[in-house]
Amino acid sequence: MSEVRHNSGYLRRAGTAGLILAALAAGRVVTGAFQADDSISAPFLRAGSVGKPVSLRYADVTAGHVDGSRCVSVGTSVLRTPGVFVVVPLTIVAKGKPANLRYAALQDRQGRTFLATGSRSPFAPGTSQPGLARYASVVVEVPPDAVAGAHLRIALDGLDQRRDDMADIDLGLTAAQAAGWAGSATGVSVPDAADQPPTIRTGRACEDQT
Amino acid sequence: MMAPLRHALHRPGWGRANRWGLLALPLATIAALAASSDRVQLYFWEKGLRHPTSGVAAQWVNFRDQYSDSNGDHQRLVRVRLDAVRPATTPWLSTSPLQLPPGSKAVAVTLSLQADSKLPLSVCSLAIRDADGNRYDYLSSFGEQPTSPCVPPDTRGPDAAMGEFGGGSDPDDPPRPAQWTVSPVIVVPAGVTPTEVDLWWEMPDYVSLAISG
Amino acid sequence: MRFNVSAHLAAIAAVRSFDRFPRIAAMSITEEPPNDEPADPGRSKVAHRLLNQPLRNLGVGVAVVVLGTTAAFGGLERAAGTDRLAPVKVGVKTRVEPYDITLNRVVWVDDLPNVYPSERGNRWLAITATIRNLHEVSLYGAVELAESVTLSDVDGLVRTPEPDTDRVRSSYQKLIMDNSDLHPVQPSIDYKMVFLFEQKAGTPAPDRVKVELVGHTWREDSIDKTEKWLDPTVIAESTVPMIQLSETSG
Repeated sequence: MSEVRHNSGYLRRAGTAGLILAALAAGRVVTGAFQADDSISAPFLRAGSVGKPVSLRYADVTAGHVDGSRCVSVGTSVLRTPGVFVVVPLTIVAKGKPANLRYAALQDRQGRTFLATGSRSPFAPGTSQPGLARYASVVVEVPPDAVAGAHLRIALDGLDQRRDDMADIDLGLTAAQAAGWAGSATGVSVPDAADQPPTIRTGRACEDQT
Repeated sequence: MMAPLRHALHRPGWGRANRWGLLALPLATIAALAASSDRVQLYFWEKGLRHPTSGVAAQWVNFRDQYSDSNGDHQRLVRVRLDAVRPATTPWLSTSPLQLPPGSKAVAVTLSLQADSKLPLSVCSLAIRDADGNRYDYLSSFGEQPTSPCVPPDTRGPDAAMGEFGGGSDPDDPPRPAQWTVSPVIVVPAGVTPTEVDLWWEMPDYVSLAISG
Repeated sequence: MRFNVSAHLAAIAAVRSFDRFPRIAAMSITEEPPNDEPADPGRSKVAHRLLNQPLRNLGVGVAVVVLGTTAAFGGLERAAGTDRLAPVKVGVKTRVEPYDITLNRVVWVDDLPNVYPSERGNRWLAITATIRNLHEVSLYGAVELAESVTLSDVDGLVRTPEPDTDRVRSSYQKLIMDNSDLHPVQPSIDYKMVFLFEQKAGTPAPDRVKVELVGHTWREDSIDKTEKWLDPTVIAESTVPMIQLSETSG
């Protein structure tokens, strides 16, 4: 009869191990099924609209009058696109300590993300001193069908936006505006980032800017 | 529902049967916290000004921290004295008038420093604080000032050695004097009253100098 | 797909083993142990039976377990390089993940306005193409795009081949309409662009070049746990004629 006891001991131990594994697996399934990993690492979106400051942990950010064209002049270069450039003037006021905002992107209704990074979609506001306004522009190249309903996303860290505030500004754009920009021959002149409010410069015709 | 649970807990010998588990529980908790504690170091402690060496204006302060270069780990020993914090109308080492942003003013911070002329010091940051703790940094882009706020622009001294990538001291450069004075200019909102000057090379260590009066 | 297969295997294995244990246990309750077997109280009947198996059966069992385990790490995935490569067709749109790429012209030219070679006199081997980013997020032009169209077996290229391959990336990826570096590559825009490969002046211009289209896979990087386009894999290759770009064909 001793073998019976031994066998049931093995069984119990195997059963216990199985239950522990099942509990671990169930935990993994639950976190995976509800995208818990994604939601605890997601940025905190702060909604806003054009002309109203969005209050973030590190700065107040205000989007100004949005313009667009199929060509822009940025610094010394002239950029053209088969799509459209969306140009959003921003006013940034840092809080508590200086801030250099490095993330900007346009998010369209289809969920596509158009990053403002690199030479063809530039965003380089420089460092903002707390309490003093910094004036900069976000330039993003997009296909015309991404314009209507697009939101502007702004955050502090260029590489990692997790677990920190992110502005989510409805730019209030329409398909008619997109069509106008795609068909217009007038370029947008993008001012460099500065501590002074930019002076209005009228864009030249895209065809002249060579 | 609760009765069987209570029975299980108060069953004679429950504590005794589980004594090793109960003893291990606080230890396991401490071990779990310790295992992830490097994040406190990486994401909090080293990401801000946490460890001040404090002093007051017009007095020398001995500051010491560590730095690493391609030759290993070293001590950084610097003596710092805050001489003055005054309103400024021109950038540091310039006579052309400052272009001030709307609603702002400029402040010149005069510091004297003493250090070994072979110590790499040029990569540093300078800031002033107000009574609310807001920090306003030296920005070299403001008024096109020298990049480093803590060394003489013409005799910066050596750069940190970076092995095959260069750095280190250049024998052709004139050596940095044993003592020198800098006067970088910082832009702040017009209503701000500076109460403290902060100087640092690598967070979290910094020199904190109270502005008297 | 791969995970489904390995999960099924694991589930089947688990069910089978749980199925077997009670049966053996029940057997040992009702049946007396045969007399010829030693009644060692420290050893179970299962272990006993296993030990009485011929060594070859045990070896087969171990091999099955080891091979089964590899399924969890991709052992059931199709091995790379078993497919015959498709030819590269100029003028035909090809899915080269994460891009659609249509090669338009394969030409060489001695110099180009506003594009400066690393040494004077070097010439440009140029592949013009229409490309479209099919991903839902912007991509960096110098990364996957530069790796997506490569040249092989060409003498005198300035850039060195990718590690462990003979594929050479282009030196520049430029948008034709404004001559700017194509960076970033925004989603869903058809860009007419050119891959520029710099060739040393001392080597003759090739009349044929081997072009390879290299696709990528969207997966989690095992090092930093972020999802990226990884695993460059040649999906099409051909040797195509290369002609000199003349003023008229410009």
